[in-house]
Amino acid sequence: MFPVNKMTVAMLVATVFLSALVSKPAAAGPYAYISNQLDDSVSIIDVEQAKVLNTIAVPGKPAGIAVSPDGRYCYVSTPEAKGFAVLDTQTHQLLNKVEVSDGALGIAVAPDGKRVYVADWYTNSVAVLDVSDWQVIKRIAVGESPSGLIISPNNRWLYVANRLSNSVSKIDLNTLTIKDTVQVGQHPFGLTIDGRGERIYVANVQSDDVTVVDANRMQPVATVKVNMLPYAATLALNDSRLFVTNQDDGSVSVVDTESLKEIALIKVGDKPEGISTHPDDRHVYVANWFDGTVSVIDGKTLRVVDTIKTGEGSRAFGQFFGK
Amino acid sequence: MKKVILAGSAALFLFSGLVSAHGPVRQKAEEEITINAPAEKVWSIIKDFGDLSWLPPVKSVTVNGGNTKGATRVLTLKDGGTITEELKKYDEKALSYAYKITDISTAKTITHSGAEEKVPVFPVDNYAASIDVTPNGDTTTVSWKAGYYRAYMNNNPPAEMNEEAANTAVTSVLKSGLENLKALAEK
Repeated sequence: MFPVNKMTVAMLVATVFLSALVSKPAAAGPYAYISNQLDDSVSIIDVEQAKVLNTIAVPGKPAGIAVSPDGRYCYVSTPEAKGFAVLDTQTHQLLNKVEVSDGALGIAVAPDGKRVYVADWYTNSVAVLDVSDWQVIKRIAVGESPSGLIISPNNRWLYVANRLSNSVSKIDLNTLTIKDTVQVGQHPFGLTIDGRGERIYVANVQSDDVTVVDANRMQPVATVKVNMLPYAATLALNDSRLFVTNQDDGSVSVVDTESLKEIALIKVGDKPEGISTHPDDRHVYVANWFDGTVSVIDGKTLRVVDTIKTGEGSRAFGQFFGK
Repeated sequence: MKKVILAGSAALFLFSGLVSAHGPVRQKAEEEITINAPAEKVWSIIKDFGDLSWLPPVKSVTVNGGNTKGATRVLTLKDGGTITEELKKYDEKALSYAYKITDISTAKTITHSGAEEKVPVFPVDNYAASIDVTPNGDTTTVSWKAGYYRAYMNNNPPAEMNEEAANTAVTSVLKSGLENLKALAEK
């Protein structure tokens, strides 16, 4: 009996050891993908270990980030390379470079993973691409200097923040035409949507506030004052809290989405830009452009629990978490 | 999958044939100096938003408002020209303030890509900076950070308005300012 047991243990150990060797990288997840614009790279953060697992060279001043719903691909807009890069999140290879247009910045992927949308800062349009062949299906004319993009959870609508038009366009994803436009604060940049697709929150860099928009009626519900140069926003804790990066204040504003009031201001690194919520719906990750770091905020205690060194000019504009 | 990889190599091929043409990318500069003087002394030299007597390239300053958010100052430079700045943040306890450039006068006009371009006296755009004084016992660290774009916002900038021109100009101001601040504080 004893030797058999020992044998079983030995085999088990060997199997575990082998599978650890074979699966690469260790499939722990989730991962955060941080574009380092001044370094021409993307840092892949292993969230469990709170450290950078790998840094992939991505030429073209990488800025915007989107991750496919299955976590298999990371799409990175590269304004200087006029398009975006496709990263394989398993092999950590730059798989493909897709050319779209001159001023590619905001980028989003459909909840079913089949399409990628790229906002073009110069041509005032959003390009719709089919991921199966990377062909542009359509270029939709929107407002001036379109920046942030967000798609409704039911994959029916795409919302575009038009920075210089001070508006948000709502695009029907069946017909690929604009259904409605709403005026928001001054110079809207990043935006996010709640889990039910009912409200969008738009960070206005010039008016230092967030416009809350009823996504169905496309009417502003409220304007919430935050701090200097709000850049991007994310929701956490079952959509009860909104976190907004204040680029020129080195802080994140926390807004209670019921009272629509700022309830806390958390110091992070210098020039915070991209912000995303961990799949646990509790922790919020912030890319600090000036410092080249990522601050990890515990959404419950509202404290910074970690700071991770990334690269020069960390922007991570978009939804940067993947499985 | 094969299709994607093929498309990828085709795109790569196209890329290599293109001249770099793109919009500007935000730049950063950071300078730090250690001063052998207490923080209160260092801070007293720089703390008034309307006083830039410690900054060598500046000849004079006119200020509108005190050390509160929204105050503005107009810097007249020794080499000529003016820069207008707005106080965006002032923290007496943290010994820190932040400001933005709102206007820069033109140094000269050049012709570039068939168009007249105004070269600003300080070749940057959308410039924001902060200055921080940190006490370390008997010495003090002063850090000055700036984020900005090159002056030319379209593709293919002229040499006077490219990233290199912006970075050189900003670094020079930050360095000369901190060095002079050190000299004044250690007197």
